[in-house]
Amino acid sequence: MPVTGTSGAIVFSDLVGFTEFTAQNGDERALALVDRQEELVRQSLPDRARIVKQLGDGLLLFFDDADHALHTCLDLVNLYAKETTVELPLWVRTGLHFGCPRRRGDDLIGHDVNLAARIAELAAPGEVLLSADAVDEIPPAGGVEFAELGPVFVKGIPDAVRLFRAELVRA
Amino acid sequence: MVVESGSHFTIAVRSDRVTVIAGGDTPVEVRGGRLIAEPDGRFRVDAAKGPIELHCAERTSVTIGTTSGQVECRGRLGAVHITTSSGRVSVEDATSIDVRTKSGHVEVGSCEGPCTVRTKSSTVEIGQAAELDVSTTSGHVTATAVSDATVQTVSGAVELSIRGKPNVSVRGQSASIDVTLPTGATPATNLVSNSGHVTQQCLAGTDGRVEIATSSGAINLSCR
Repeated sequence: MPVTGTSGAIVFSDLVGFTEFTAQNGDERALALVDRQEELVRQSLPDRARIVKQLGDGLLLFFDDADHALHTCLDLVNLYAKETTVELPLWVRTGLHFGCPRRRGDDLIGHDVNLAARIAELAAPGEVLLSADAVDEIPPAGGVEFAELGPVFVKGIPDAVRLFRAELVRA
Repeated sequence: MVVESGSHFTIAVRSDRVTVIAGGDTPVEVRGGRLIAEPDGRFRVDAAKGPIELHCAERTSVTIGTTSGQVECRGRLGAVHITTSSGRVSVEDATSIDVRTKSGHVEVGSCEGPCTVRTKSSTVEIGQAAELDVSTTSGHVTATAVSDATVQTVSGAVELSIRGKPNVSVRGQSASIDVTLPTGATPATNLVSNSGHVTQQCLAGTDGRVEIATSSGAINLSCR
């Protein structure tokens, strides 16, 4: 199978506490939770973005444009917050990185994909964390500020990664 | 090298103990690493391996990235950012704090401003914090003197002791949540547990806000 590279924004998102939720509430409700997350993502995706694959309770997304990726993620944070109830805890954390993943069929693989996944692991529900490579691709205007969290070591990546948290600027 | 008060230091070391000591008579000094001035006016501590000890002025800001070593910040610091995987993290006093770790123990003495803690399974102990924001999967969260607190946990226990007018939001899935308010507090309350026992031992009113929601844990709201 041919492997090619494409620059773009890689987004990982997953549901925090999904294992506990499933154990407590059963498979049917867990399925409903995952389905709702995916529905909201599909509704929010702009052109030139796609769901690469589902990963249990998580999603791997790819966007041609980092700015579109960030604003989609922040819109989704708001949607998840509005829809969240005690019965339907859409506690989604999100990691964003800009790089050049390798395409393998419809799938994406490579260091940049791994890094996006590791960044997501450091986020809390409702947070969007992103790498310096992603921040560099996003124009300064746009109602978003980036709070630097510093150099971060993540599993499997030898060098420290500069990490930022995206915050909507209050009007 | 001239290092002014209120400077910012960045320390990145893969796995070893990091100690920051603010205040005292010692000038800026790095043990176990090399101090490098960055073009943006910040300072970076370069270290290949081994424990690092930074002595600095009060109100110095530090950003620390490590994987598994113990991180200890003593004295009064400015903004503190710490990211690690495991190991004990302690911050005695800072103007703002952001700590991210998977496991271990997080201890904060006092934080004047925002105090953010993100963890998977760490025990979190907060003394005094102006704006507390904790998210955990299974860690136990205790805060002894907070007024503005947001806590999100999947299955950990939460114990908050509120000082002053409460502005409290706690969300859990199977968490047990215990919030103690000052004597005579009468906040607006909204306590929801689908299958857990809910106890409210204080009068509801409009002076502040307490919102607690969990799927299955017990909720206890009381006054001192």
